[in-house]
Amino acid sequence: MFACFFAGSSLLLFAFIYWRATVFETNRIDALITEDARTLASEDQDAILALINTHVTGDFHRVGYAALFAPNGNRIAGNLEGVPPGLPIDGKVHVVSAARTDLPAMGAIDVRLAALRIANGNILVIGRNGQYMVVLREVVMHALTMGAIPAMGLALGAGMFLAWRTQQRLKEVHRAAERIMGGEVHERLPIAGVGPRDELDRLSLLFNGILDETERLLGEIKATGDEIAHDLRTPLTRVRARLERTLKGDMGPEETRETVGKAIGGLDQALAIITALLRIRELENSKRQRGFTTLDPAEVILLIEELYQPIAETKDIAFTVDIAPVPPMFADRDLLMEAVGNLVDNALKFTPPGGRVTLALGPREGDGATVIRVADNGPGIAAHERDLVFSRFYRSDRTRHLEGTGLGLSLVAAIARLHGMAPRVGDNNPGCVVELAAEGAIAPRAPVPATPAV
Amino acid sequence: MDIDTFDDQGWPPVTSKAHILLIEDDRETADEIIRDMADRGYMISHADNGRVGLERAREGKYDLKYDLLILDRMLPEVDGLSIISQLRAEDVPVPVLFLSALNDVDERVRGLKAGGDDYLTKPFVLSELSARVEALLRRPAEPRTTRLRVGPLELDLISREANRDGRPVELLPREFKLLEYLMRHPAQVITRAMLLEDVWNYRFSPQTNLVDVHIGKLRRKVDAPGDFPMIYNIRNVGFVLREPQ
Repeated sequence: MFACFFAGSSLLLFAFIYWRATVFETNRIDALITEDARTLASEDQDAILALINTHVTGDFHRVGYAALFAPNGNRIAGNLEGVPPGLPIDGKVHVVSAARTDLPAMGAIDVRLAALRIANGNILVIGRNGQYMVVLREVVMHALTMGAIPAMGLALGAGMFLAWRTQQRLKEVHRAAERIMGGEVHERLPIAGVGPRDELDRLSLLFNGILDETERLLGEIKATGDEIAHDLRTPLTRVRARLERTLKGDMGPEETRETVGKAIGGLDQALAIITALLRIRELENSKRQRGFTTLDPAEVILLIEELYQPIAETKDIAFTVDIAPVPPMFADRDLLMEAVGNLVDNALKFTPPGGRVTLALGPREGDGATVIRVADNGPGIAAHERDLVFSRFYRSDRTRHLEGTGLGLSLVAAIARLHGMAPRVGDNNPGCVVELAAEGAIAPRAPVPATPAV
Repeated sequence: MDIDTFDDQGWPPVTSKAHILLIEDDRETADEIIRDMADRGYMISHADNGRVGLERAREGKYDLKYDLLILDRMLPEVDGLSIISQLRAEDVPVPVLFLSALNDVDERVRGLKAGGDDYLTKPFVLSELSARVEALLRRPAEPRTTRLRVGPLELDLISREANRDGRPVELLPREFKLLEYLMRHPAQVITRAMLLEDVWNYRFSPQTNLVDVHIGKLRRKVDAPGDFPMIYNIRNVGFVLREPQ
């Protein structure tokens, strides 16, 4: 297809060149003939005869015509039998049929001639045949065969190759897509590999990106399903065992009461897991910023400090808060408080007595982005687990025995994302540091209402 | 925990005999609520769809107006939000407690804006519901008062000073707010969630025993050694402040 277009366009190009060259050459020849005729006509008879002779004898290519005729049409000199019929004597170039006397074998052919009457009444005819046109055509044809035909062949070949290759690649993509649809979620669309990316590669890369994300989500959903089942089964199994023991009825009233109380505690934990799950889903689906106002994050930090300082004291943990001035933030106060509270709650839960927890707010060195950071010197999080802690239900093996929904950090991550903040976990040597950085700080999408919504 | 602990059942609400209308379409949830409320001594009526519920709420029962509405957010025929808007438009002042499966913050705000007085998300614990019901039934407790008094305990809301039997009790600002909240709801079970929401404006269930620690600190200041205790722990539910016995 492409090759055909290429061949067609090169043919057109050659035709155009040929046409323009012909027109140009014809005009040039005609101008020469007219000029020659006019120059000759201005000479006297003897000079004209001499010039006609030189013209005819000097014309080795046999392309020139020159003759002088008496007013009655009899030839005086030159290589034409007579004034060709149909040639007006007006000094302009016309195409007429004529034969030359010095080369009878040629016969009558179309010749460009001009005739004009000189001072003594005789008729001067001068011109050239179309031989140059033949030469020109030959040159063009030659150029065509030497240049255009190989070029066309090349184009045709290249075009066919490209078309074939594209088709092969499309077939591969098609096959890969069919395998993916058939359930092979690890499969990816093929990329041509080296060299600059073409459109097909870029499209494939885009689709592969979508597939990566989908696979990640699928994996997360699957893992979440397993984890939900596991995390719910543990407390529910305990509840069941306790109730069964109570049903046997061989406990005293005090023991019965205590066992039922513990069973209720187990059910509460199961309920807390479900509530937290629903809340995360709600936050993740939420595009809303209705509760958002412009606030000073320091207020939230101070509230959290006040809320958690007593429990740090009872656990004998040094809880310090460090606030540097930062610009106001566009945030939901309740949600921000929940996120920071969750981080501090976690840090206090995992840090052993005598440990240290710090909560810091301030601009980051370099880009000045507002960062909320909670650091502790507790057991910390292993490097390979750091990315996982923000996914639902992830709990380090070391902390699995501790009570909790295992959803706290997922909740924090969901809130952070809603605020355009990036959650990050790092090493505090020893211990753990969690950062919420307002990198792509979000601006109000709509004008903030004059009266705060809270 | 160094706080004297009692069980929930040991504290019959002083608001019993109040008349409650429950509008809830889920049969089992309704049964549980009705049984629990009846056990606590309340008179409770039930409507299982929004239209009937609205009519009942308007007219009362035997010309007796209801003292409180427990209203499900999603109902057949007329939904909870429409019922409350309708009642408020007709100047029916009955306190309303919303029940909803939707935990969305927006839903909560919408429910309270429409005229609801409290909002509880399903699933909930029955003792949480009854604590909130009692808090709503006791309102309003003289909101413009400048001094609160429960037995020997006195709180001056203007000078922000507290004393017990004339002995000053030194309180931090948030402890003052916490004690004020307890004293505005004397002899009444207050849940941890209620304290977090109303004292700290904090909607999040901490994994740590945060509230207990704050209450413990407050109690050590209020109940000095040798005093009769005034702040009690109610097992699995919350706390109560009452006159020493």
